[in-house]
Amino acid sequence: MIKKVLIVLITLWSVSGISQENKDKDRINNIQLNYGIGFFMRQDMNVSPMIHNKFGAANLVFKYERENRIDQQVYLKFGFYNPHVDKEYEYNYFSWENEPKGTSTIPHQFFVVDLNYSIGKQLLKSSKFKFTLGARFRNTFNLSFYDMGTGGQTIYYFNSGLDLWLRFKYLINEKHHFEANVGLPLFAYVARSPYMGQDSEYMEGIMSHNDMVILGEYLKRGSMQSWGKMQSFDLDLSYTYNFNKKWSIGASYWFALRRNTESTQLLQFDNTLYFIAKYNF
Amino acid sequence: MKNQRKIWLLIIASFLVISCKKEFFEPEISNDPESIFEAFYTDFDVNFVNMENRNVNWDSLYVVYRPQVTTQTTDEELYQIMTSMLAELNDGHVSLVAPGKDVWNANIYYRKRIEDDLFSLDLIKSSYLGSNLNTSFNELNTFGIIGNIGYCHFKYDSENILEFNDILEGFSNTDGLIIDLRHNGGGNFTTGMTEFGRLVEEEQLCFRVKSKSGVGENDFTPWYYWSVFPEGEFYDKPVVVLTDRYTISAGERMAMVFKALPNCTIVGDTTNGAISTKIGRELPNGFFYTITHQLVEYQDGRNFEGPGVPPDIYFKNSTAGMNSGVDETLEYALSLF
Repeated sequence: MIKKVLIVLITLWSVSGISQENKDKDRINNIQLNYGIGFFMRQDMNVSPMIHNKFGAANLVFKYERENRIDQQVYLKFGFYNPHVDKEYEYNYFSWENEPKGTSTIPHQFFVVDLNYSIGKQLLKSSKFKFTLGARFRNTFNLSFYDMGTGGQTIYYFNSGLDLWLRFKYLINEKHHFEANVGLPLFAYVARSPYMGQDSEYMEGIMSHNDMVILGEYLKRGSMQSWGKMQSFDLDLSYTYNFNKKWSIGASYWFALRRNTESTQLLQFDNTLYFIAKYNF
Repeated sequence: MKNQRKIWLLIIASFLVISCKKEFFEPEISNDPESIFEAFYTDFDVNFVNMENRNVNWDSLYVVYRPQVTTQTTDEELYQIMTSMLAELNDGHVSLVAPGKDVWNANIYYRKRIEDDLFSLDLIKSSYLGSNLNTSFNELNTFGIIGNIGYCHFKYDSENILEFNDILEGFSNTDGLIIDLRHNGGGNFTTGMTEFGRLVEEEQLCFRVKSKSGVGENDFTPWYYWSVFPEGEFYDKPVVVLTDRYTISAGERMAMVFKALPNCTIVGDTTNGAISTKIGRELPNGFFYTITHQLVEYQDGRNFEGPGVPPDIYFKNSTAGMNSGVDETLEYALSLF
């Protein structure tokens, strides 16, 4: 699977003549740091029929972008949410010595990470408008801890695949820019926690007693999927204001949908509003 | 102006997602007593696969308890109804957590602490191990030499079991080994699967497991076979394993492992009978419960879920013996060497 994706990316790279890019004079690189507030909704029927939703203030995006005849983006997106179905409360559990010990329920903890690389060719370009079409190598990794009283669950969802990538950029004027990116999946390798969160293969995965090996074992349990069982949609809209040639600030809205129906439905929406700080070089 | 338009777009997009909640998502459990009860009943009906082993007719219980739940039922009343229903399962892996209460366990031994006092680790420490007493892993492991027999007790099966081979190494000059799993609270049975390689000369199949893989009646994973594989120098001395009614969960899977090993003899009482992995679930009123969703069969096809893992030699401590400071089961085990 990884080999196929690499072949596609290398083909795109070579066909588009990216090796010539260094000679271009109008190349533009930028790095961005986005910090935002998000609203997250998830229902994972493998774990619970409840819809967990929460606002979260721990959302970051680190992004590198290179614009030329060939556009490239790579970004790492991180989000954390800790929803709770009901209010937290105290209860007593019993130690091995049968002594009652007070404890408290805690919120679930959702870690949402995306590491994406996009490459595409500028198909339309004018002084005001640019349109880029290409591919995005998308990697979504969600790790979640569900507090269920005496039976907590660690749940994972990994989705690594190839998306169709569309990019629109509108230069309102020299100072104001508007940009939209859209990702639509073609196929992906998907690894997801089993029905009810655990089975024997899951248990075999934890037998190594090594967290990294365990993670690798989980990821190995996936399958190639396309639109039949897996749907996703990524959209980001951003506005930036250029202070000068080097520095820009702005705001952006990111929307991500993830849906999977192997074996029950997982559906999540991630809406985040970011503030952007951008350095152009 | 442009900015204002954009902000409105963002607000509308977010609103669309939130307002379409019911269109996209599966129906949630409503936070009312009847919906909560129905969801709770259905979850066990669909996923709890050991009703027959436990001689429970879940549908009959529904007929009895469903009429007791109305729109006016309070959380306290619902708690009483649900625990009454779950008590019929008598499953140590089924529990209920509710605000301000003790964790409620469906197993009568754990809930009422029946025969809890027929085992005392303190007694073993003081009367049998004495100056040979060692502990490790925050006292989850207690071990030492009694006479010329190595003895180790494990409170749980977690990372502490990873020290088993170090403990065994310290018993190299003894005549045999007693592994005490009485009152073992379980944990992660896979630790045992990797650490007991010295007790076999060749691969030894212990048990097989299949788990629910979907909501359909026949949705199960294929059987998964669990074996112990030889590793290191074979320990060719006799091993006696002690169990009681408080040996539960991963402790019982370990008992199944030892039951399958050629040079091991299990002495004591039947284990608790809660072998399938427990899974946490939540309800909208804040209750949490645990449920099990696996069929676990011993190497010969027997399912011990419910009845518990039977010992090879049945032996139980007496209250009189405990009161006089004698662990009769341990002494019997020592006499077997």
